[in-house]
Amino acid sequence: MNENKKDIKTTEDNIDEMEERALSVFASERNEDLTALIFCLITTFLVLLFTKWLV
Amino acid sequence: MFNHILLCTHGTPGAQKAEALVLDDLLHKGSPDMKITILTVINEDWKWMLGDDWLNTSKTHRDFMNHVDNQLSLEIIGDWERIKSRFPAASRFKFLKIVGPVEETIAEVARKLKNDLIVIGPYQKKQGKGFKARLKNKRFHPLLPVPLLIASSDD
Amino acid sequence: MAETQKNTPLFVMGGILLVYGFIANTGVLLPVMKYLHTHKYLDLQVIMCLVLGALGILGGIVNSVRKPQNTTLDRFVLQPLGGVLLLLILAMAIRWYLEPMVKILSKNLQPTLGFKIYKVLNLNYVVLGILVGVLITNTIGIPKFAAAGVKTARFVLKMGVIMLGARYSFAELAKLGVYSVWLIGFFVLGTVFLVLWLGGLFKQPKTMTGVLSAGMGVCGVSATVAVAPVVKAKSEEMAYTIGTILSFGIICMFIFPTIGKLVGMNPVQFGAWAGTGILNSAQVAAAALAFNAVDIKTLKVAEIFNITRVLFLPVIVLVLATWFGKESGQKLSFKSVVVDKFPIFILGFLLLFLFSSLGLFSPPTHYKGKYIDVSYNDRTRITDEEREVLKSAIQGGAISGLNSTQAEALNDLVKQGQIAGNFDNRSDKKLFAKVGQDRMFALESILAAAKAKQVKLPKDVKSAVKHAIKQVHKKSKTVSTLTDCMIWFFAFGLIGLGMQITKKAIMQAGGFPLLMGGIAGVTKATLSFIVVLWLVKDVVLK
Repeated sequence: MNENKKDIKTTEDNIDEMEERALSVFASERNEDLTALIFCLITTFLVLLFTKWLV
Repeated sequence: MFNHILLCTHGTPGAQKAEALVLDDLLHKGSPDMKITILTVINEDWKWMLGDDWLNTSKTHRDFMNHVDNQLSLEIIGDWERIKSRFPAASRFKFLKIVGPVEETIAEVARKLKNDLIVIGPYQKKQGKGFKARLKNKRFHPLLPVPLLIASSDD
Repeated sequence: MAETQKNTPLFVMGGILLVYGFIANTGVLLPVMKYLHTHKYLDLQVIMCLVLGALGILGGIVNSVRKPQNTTLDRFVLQPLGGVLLLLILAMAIRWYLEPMVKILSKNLQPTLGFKIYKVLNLNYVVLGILVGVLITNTIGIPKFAAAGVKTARFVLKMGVIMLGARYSFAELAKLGVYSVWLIGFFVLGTVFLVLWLGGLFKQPKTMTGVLSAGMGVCGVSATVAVAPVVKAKSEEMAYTIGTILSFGIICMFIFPTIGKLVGMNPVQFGAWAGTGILNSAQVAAAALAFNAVDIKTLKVAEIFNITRVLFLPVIVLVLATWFGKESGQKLSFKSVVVDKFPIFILGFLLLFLFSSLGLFSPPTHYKGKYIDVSYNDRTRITDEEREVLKSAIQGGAISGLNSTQAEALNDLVKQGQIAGNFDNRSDKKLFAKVGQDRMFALESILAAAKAKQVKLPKDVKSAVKHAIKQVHKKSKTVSTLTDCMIWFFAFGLIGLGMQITKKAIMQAGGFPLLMGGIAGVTKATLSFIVVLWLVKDVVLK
């Protein structure tokens, strides 16, 4: 199996690609939940700014 | 007659008929330096099996995909062992496993390996164990680079 | 070449949004919108379309002048932008065009069919969103340019849940928490053991029953995904289990809200039932919003159940690991099961809950008391059922003794489905707000008169009027804006998740998991239905 020709994608390459597609954009992040939390805090801050603090 | 056959199998009853056809019949009737490549395609639709899960972290997803990967590899190696023990002659040939859309992958491999014949098993009414998906003729036939041989349904 | 492929859709979508925004701004579309009853959201439509359209064009320009690199900007903004825009366009089109059209169509078809399709199937924007997502994946497939953006759906849904945290009070959380811990605890463990027992009965391998019991017991595909590596499930076992759970979930999403409405469940009961009985957590949110998309009561209840389930997941993984580990001899550390799998977004939910409890979102002092929201808003609407009740009561002459102001306010409530000013006056903010508030006072005076027995008011009319008044009493503008964001996050996330449900995955349903999953799933749904109707009382929700 190791003598696969170069031009045929090996299983490993292929699986990597498959995983890449299967996972979220945040695959490279340590934790996407934290990112979601930060986004929410930013949204909350903006909402507070425009509906409470600046009004 | 044929110099390099591409045998497509995934261990189902239908595919086993193709195995018998190639490794029993064709191998003995053909020339002594005939080459055979045994190809198992891992259906790329596995990537959809996470479904609409959104609760898990990406680490859990990665763990799952790794497990699927390992598990499929194990099962395929087991399948190849079965082929080798049933047809000892098979041991000298090359075994390949590739992830991708089934039809395209078979055609691509046959083109790249310069096979002159593709052999698959017959359509089975009842599907065997494993990932449920069938080869679609409408999609497969226009892609065929070389002739296609389908094993007979009779035992 | 890849870049140009990616850019054309961005320019096209951005252009369409801008053009639509400008056309809508001129008011040409007003007759159409009035026909569809979406004219109240005209301003929102214009703002969203212009902003998103500009973003799309900007992204397209940046993409074409800049070489793609592997930076955070690329990965988080430029690559997903196409898909994000696509999902947003779908969400807007569904809310402002598809849903109203389905409503009108099914109203017109009522004489022939004898029932309203959208009512029976609960085809509101949430369900339609999921359906559109499913349809797109299974017919044309997710377009290449959108692939990265569609993957943000999971993430956006988590944001929705975090934002929802701002809407609970201590009392609610405590009361709902008790219900959910008991119900979920009982049914999770019950289903897990039922499946394990059935597995023994049918002599199935432990790997199979392990993965199936988690999927059936806790939260569907999520649990299967988490447990499969632990119990070392075989490939076909995973495929069959996930296929079974997905198909079961889709069916539940349609059946649950209809049954809930048929037996007249209140929002708390329905939220509890959906949260216990539906396997897949995305479909729990969908069913809750399908049951009641007007206010978020049901969603609030269902999400608490969802969160409880998520917290149960590590426990189940641990239990199954021990049960399975005895034979395989593998050891799982506490870290690998509980710490790595702990959903951090729940901490975010709690954080927003904490902010809210500390009064961060409460109105600034100059509001003096309660803030009244008489603007056009989905959240301030009464339900369709209540509208029908009012309509038939007025037409049937069941209400008598109203003065002209009161009658006008009541008529307008039926017409608009919410307390608000007149659409034509919307640019004059002061007049608009005054008319809306006067209407609210008139309705309050009706209730006062009914209490003094000066007018006769049927009970259901009274509750509908009360609801209408309560809907416009918002604690603060901040909370309502946060809620609006949250609803859009949910809509966006659910469309994107719908796109992850493929026919190929559903077709994997079969074999033993289908049989056993069918038994366990139906048992769980039925038993939880009975228990919820029997035990769960209405909790007063804000």
